[in-house]
Amino acid sequence: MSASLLFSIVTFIYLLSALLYTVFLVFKMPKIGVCGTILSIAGLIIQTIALAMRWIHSYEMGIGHAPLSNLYESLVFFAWAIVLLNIIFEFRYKTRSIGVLPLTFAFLSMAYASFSSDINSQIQPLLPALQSNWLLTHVTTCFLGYASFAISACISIVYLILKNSSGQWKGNNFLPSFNVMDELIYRSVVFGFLLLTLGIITGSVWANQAWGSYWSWDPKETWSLITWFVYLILLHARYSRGWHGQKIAWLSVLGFGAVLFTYFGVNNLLPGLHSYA
Amino acid sequence: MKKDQGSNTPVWQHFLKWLISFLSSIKLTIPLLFLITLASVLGTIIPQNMGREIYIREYGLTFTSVMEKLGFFNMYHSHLFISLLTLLMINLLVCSLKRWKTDWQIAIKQWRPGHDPKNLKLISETSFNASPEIVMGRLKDIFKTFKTANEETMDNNNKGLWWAGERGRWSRLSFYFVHFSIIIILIGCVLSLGFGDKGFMVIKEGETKGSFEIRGQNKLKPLGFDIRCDKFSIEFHENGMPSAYTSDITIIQDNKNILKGAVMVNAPVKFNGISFYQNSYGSTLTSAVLDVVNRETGESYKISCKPGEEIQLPSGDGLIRALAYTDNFEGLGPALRLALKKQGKMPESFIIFKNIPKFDTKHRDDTITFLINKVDTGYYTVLEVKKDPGVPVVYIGFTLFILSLFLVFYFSHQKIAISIIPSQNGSNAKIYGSAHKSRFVYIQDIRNKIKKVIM
Repeated sequence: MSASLLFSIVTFIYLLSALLYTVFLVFKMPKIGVCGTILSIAGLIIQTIALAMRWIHSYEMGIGHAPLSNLYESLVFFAWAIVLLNIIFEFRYKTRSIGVLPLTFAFLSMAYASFSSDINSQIQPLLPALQSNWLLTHVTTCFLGYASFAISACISIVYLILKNSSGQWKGNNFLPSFNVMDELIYRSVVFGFLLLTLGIITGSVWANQAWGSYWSWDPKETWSLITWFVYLILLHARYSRGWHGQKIAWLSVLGFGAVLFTYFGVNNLLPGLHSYA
Repeated sequence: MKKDQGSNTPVWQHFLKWLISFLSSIKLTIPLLFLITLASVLGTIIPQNMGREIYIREYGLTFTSVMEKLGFFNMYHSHLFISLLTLLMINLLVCSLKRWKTDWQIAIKQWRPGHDPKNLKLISETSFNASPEIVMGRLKDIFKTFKTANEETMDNNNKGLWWAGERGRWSRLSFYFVHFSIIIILIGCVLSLGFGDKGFMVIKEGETKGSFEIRGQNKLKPLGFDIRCDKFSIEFHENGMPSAYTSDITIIQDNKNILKGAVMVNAPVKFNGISFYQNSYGSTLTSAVLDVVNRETGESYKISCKPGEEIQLPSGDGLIRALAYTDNFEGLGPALRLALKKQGKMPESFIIFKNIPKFDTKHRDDTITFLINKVDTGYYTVLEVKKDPGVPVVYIGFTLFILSLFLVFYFSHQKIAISIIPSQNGSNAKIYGSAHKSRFVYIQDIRNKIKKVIM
């Protein structure tokens, strides 16, 4: 069985899992929720196997490198990271209901990678600039960070919708209370911030090794810093100004907007050195 | 203006006082961060360091002048941007200094609670079918990582037990470590900008050079040693994509070969604190053989020339010199620029193409015409040259920053207190706690652990 077939299967598993999570939440059926979780775990395992296969296959082709070198591979890894973090969050904080939006995001990321005609899914050899041990750490830290911000934004969206429709929400067995959601938004931002910081730092060290400059205000670099600043504002607003709830939720959504622009917008709209993904 | 009649302090002192409190205010932090973010966004939207005409065409004269004054066309090096960053650093420093003392005192002093759970939150209240001693033993087991702060037996209250513990007191300081490491990174950046040199050198295969060019300044700076490019090579993948660019170099000092090395992308060579990075490359002419044809007589002969060298044409028609060569001139293949000096005439310069032999005959109205017979090319390599004393400092700052960020987010000063009172069936336990950060997770974790003890 080929890795690309497995990726297609995973795409549909994530779609199905997102649907099950929705049914669980809308019709309040706990057993369906458990099925959603089990499916997402199954999808993650299959995707991990497929990623390993792609990795091994690249070595068989004689151009061995981690499957993290272009837009296709980064989208697949992004989906993988979102599902992984969603499962960790679900077990750590016992909140199954937040899985609806993350799984939808994971499905969209996989679908975009597989079905878009401008994305090349072939295993390609690495350009000299990408041939470095930093590739693995830089890309994984950045995308785990992005994934954590995605989850934070998902919870924020639910928070904002609930806040604007019902105002008061004490939480039930299916959706956590405002206080818990607020804490979850913060927790996921913190994890994302730590990883984005690691991503920026590893990128900086790598750039110094490849181009002889640890910071050169390249658009990708600058936008990752802008994203970092948005979350820095969020953290300072929370720590020192005591911001909570809606304001933090809005900042988290704004921050994820910056993440998406850093990921997709910069390559399409602003020219720069960082043209791989 | 209102005058302060109670004292004779001049206005500027009031202003200074106000300024210090303004700079140290936490209220300043968020607007500053916001402005820096906004300026960074503008810097990516507005094209940077372009010609003035381009800006005028895009934004009009008035806007261009305003934006130029504000430094929007070189945003990240503008006075505006640097002032904002400086303000942020002052704000960070003054804020930290102001709060330092209180947190330091808490961090060094062991917590000494009496048997009173004041300032602590009641986390759980549970009944057990066991004696207070056994329950205390089991509960203390789940708080093994806490250091005992107080332990008492309450004799007056029917042998009740009380225990209090704390952990992570030093994490009160993690906030300062984060800000301190930002300052270290900044010091590194200042060192890079102030004492670093950045430039490049273009070396042909076989050529030796002892100085590099500072970017944008058209100025040469000596390396303090010589560097020779022995060979430049490109390797390709099967699909035609380049797989490696390599410059084999030799470092020469006092006419002795000191070091041989290969500069590759992602693998710089370092010598004497100066690093060499593979930047780019190109082809250059080593020698060319030209056919010189007389249009009228049809006679032709060959000449061989080296780049830059002036050659007397044997037919006595003048002097010829090969000025520049390119592998591919706008898709037309190899091209050579020549300069021809004829007696009593202005020197002229023109291009001839290897793949279009008739080009010169068609485009120049002269008795003698030139054709490329053969070109021998070699590579030249472009090495990025950098001396940067700031890098180690920046890297130390990076490491400290990550570690302290981890401390800030995942460690907090946590307190716990357990009070157990005997009851008819066994004992009643109350657990109190507090954490200076992440209370939610702390409380939830304790509740989960206690649940396991009950089962």
